[in-house]
Amino acid sequence: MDDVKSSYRISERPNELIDRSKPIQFTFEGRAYGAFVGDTIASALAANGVRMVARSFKYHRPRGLRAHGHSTDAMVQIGERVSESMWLVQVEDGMVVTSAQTAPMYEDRPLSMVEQLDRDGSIGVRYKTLIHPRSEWNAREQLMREGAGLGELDEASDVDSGYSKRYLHADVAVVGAGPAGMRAALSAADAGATVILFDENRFLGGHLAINGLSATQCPGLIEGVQAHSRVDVRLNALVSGVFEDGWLFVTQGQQLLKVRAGATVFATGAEDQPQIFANNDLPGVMLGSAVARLLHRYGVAPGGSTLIATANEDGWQLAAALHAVGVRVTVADERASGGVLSERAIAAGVMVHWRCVIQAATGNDAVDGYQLKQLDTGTIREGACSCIALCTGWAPRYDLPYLAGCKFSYDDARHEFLPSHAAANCFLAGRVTGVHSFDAELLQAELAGKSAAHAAGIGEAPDANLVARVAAAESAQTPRTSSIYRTEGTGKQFVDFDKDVTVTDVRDAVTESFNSVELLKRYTKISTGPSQGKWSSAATIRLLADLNGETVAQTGKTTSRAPARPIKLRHLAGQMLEPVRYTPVHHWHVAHGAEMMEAGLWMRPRDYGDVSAEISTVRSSVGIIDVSTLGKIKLTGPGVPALLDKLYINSFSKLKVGRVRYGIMCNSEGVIIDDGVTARVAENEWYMSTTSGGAGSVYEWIQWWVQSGWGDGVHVTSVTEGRAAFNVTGPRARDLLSQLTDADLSNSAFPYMRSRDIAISGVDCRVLRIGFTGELSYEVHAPSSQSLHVWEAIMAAGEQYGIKPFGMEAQRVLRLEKGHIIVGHDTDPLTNPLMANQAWAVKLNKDDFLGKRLIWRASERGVKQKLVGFKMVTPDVVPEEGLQIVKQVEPSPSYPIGLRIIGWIASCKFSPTLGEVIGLCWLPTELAEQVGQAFSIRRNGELIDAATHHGAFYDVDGQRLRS
Amino acid sequence: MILIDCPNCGKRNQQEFRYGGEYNPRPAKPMDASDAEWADYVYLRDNKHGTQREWWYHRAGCQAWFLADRSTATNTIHSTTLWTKS
Amino acid sequence: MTQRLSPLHVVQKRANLTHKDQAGWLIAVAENDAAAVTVSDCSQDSNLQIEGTHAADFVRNVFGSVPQRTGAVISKDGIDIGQLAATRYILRGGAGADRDLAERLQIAAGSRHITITNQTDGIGGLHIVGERAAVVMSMLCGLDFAVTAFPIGSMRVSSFAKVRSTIWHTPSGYRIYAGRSYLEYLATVTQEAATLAT
Repeated sequence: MDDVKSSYRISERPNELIDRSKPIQFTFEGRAYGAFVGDTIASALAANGVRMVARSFKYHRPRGLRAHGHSTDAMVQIGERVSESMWLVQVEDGMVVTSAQTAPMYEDRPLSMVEQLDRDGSIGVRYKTLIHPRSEWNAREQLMREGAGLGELDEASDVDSGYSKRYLHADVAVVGAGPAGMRAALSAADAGATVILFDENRFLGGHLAINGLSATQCPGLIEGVQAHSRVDVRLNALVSGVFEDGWLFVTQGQQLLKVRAGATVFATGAEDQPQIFANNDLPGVMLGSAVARLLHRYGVAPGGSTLIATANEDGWQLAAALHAVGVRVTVADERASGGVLSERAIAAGVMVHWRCVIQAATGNDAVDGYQLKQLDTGTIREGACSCIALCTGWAPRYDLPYLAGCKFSYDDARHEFLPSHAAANCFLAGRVTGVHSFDAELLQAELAGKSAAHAAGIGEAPDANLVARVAAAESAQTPRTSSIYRTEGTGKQFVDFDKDVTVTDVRDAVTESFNSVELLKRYTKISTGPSQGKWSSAATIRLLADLNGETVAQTGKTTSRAPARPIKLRHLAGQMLEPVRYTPVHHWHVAHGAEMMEAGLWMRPRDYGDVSAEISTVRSSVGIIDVSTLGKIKLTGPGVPALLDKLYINSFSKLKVGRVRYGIMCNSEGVIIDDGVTARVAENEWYMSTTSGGAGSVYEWIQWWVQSGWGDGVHVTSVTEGRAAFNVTGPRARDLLSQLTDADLSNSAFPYMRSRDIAISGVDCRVLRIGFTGELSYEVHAPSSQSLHVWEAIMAAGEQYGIKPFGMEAQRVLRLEKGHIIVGHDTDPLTNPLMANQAWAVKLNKDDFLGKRLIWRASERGVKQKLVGFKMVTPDVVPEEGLQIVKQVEPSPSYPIGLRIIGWIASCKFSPTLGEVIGLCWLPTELAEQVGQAFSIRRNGELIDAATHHGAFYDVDGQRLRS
Repeated sequence: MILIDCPNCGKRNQQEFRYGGEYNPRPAKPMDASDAEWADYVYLRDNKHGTQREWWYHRAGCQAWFLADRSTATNTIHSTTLWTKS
Repeated sequence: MTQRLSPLHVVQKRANLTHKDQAGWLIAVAENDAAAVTVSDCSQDSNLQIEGTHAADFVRNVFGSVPQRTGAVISKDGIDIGQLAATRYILRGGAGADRDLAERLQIAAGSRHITITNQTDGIGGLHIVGERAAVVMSMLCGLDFAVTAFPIGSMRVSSFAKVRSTIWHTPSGYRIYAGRSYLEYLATVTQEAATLAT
């Protein structure tokens, strides 16, 4: 098809990633383009000769394809997908792609903003210039934000479904599948280790594959790792974090991989380090590795005539490859002479300028020429080209090994940060160590693989001979990176392309005293963009060292932090795993109109539609509530009585078999942590209940004491889930249950605060006669698997009494009418039992119990605040829980409106039983101890009146629950 | 996420565990302790930079409370052991 | 006797699965498909716990041998016995065996301080079967599911989809037991993971 051919697509390359038999179409910024299956968005745009792909973050300058990977300029939006890199996403037929970086418009420069930013757009402009006048800041900020792009989020989109996480385990993880990574993986696997080999590319081979070198240069490596049963090859896998104990964080497709490895080999390679020169951001200025990738993997020569600026043989390798496909190539080499590769290329017809560096790119919206400077004579030489490829040096890709704890230090002779210390169980191989010779790389990798396997407990330690050979090979390395990181042309010289930071900006920042590397980074935003400084950090440090007049080692580097690669928040969320707990009768509640509410992880009925009716049914006849969520703990053994006496502030050791007691637990601070009833169901077996919310923490609390010295003769078992629990409560409760059991339920045979194991409707249940609601109550604990039957049997038998199920809201009113506290609702993490008006439970005559010492102290000193009941005096108002109780004082600076806070509302409800608003509140002790003490509550700026009340509000002497 | 070597279950991910604070044994006779001693037990912690003995609970596993000697500086856990009467 | 119900009983009815009686339990009849991974309900399985300083001797006396390490399992008369700690053992068996077994063990314990707890009613179970079962497990649990690390015939207690669970690797696949209240949630997310894994 003619329409997918363009002048930039060259003839077929060996091992290219595209399928030329499958042409497809896509649009970019509204224009249709052709591509082949296998093209990335970037390679397709390059093939079509699209030069400008984005506008820059701050100055809105035209930007082109520059470097492979994540960068601000390469960010695109694909339909609903945001923040994708055009280098990583493969084109699909019909794909609609827009740049995330072109707002407000792609082609025409919106003059007013750009001009202003160009003039005032120096570093810190937002805080220094644009902030004034303040009144216009919002509008300016809005404009800048739109200009900065970043894409548009469609909140209704489900494009983010299908994400998950997975744990992987291996003896050895190898990061990077270039020649070193592959060799290390095979070396470790051959030693017997299980290996996972990660690479962010979709192909194996790393720099070999990018540079189109034939597989014969690494015989057996690619086939070897693919065929090895112990090597798990994972491509398109971005390692973005490395943490303690060999914990790696990897994204692959829609999955987040959480990897645990015994040892890790970092074969992360090196990144091109571009020199800084004038207009170095023009479309057409590219990194050599990006040109090589397009050429060898996608069959695209992204320029007509190309200037290659180099300082090593890598540039000549690219020159030869471009020349071979018919591109007119000129090389500017800052060296005086080259090696074998340059000789060959020159012989083949490549033009060369020795001892020349690039000083400027020329062109308006894209490169149309270059300026070179002869280093010895200072002569300026100009020429025309449409592409400038930079091959002037490398920086080891050290961010991941650095996260793992490895250290790197600057080598003044080689102008690179090279590894100086490897962290425990971490090994490095290949170009990340500064090694660029192929043989040395493979030798290093063999050692790293063996060492990693050995560190993971597999195979022998590598022999000394190999170690010595590697050391010799490493020391034979020569400089690859130019001593020149910047030239002095006229025009903007960009240091960081993600954030549009220039040399002038850095100089200004240093002038303003932001002259330490960490401060500079934060002030200028260098290395905080999607590329995380991999093309700017090294130059920034060298520039800062020069400006400060110090060495690079003195300047130091910024701290690397995870994630080292951009990852989606959706990856972190993964599959939604939010546990929710249902009681065995959950679906009955839902089917019978219950409004469910969350209570911790549990779903519980709030009400069944009519709270007042639920309350009055309990008071007049009988109701039932599902309290299966209560914590239940079985304690067995001869040591239990002594243990309970220490755990509870009140006494349990003398409790007789078949009896139940309410108890309060405190911590060592004397603060109430939980309450509940405990039954002695046999001589050596006790059945404890805890609050629903305290089930887990109380169990762990008891286990802690049991496992740290108080466990003699005690076993503690959580049995919360084994039994559902239903409180059948109301004056007709006995009549109802009598129909379902042969057991004698009379008050003499089964009195208040007793427990019995009896059959209810044929199911063996444990029944406790207790009374949170203040009525005759049987708490029926039925085996969970048969509990729905028990519940339904109770409902059926209760029909003649008009039984109603009731929810948490009714329960809260019922207990409040009795003045019962709810731990954690009426109390807080400072509340001791004396403050909570539970002095009756404190048995200071016991030898020891948790909290005794500080409760005793409090009893000696008295408490300042107390929990006390109250009734509203102001009619028809239910003050919200948490409202402040205030006292009127003379207005003063401390009390500007003449009100002093003296307490607050803990619980407050309208009681349909009493026809009054009642509650519990915190007041100063001297007020709380007065019956009928009036006080004021501040609500919506107004004062309303209430008065204290002592004891229960309903059935004061507790006759009903004992009847 | 660090690995913690449960004395029963072996090495597991940290997220299976609950941290239980510094090892801080309770004085045997609370009522005989001075106020200063008791305040030290209840409220004060060493907050050491270096290796400290601390409690961990294997919540998602065997539910054992155990003691770990962990460096707060490096996060290295040197040893773990169940509590025994000394 | 009142039939015992799985925590998934209602959702199974909604999915139009048929139920049949099995040893006192009303069990959903699983559909037999040959998917790469299937998730089915095994809440009816018996689950008991034995605790005591002399629990190892007790288990040896009753069953003839005792697992020696945490995570090790021995099998006797259709009961799998796994070690949770030197003083704690977990027993797993088929539907309906639990109440008799608990009573038998209680009698065998006599007056010794051995605590037998029948947790069957409090626990729900999922059976995960198929060639991708280990992948599904590794999506929800941080354990290493390589057969060398977690062999058939062993058990572990760990966090599965953020819920404390006992995981048994049996010849037919993985059996996961967790608190009954979590089962609807666990069944949903496990099924979802199974879909994502295939």
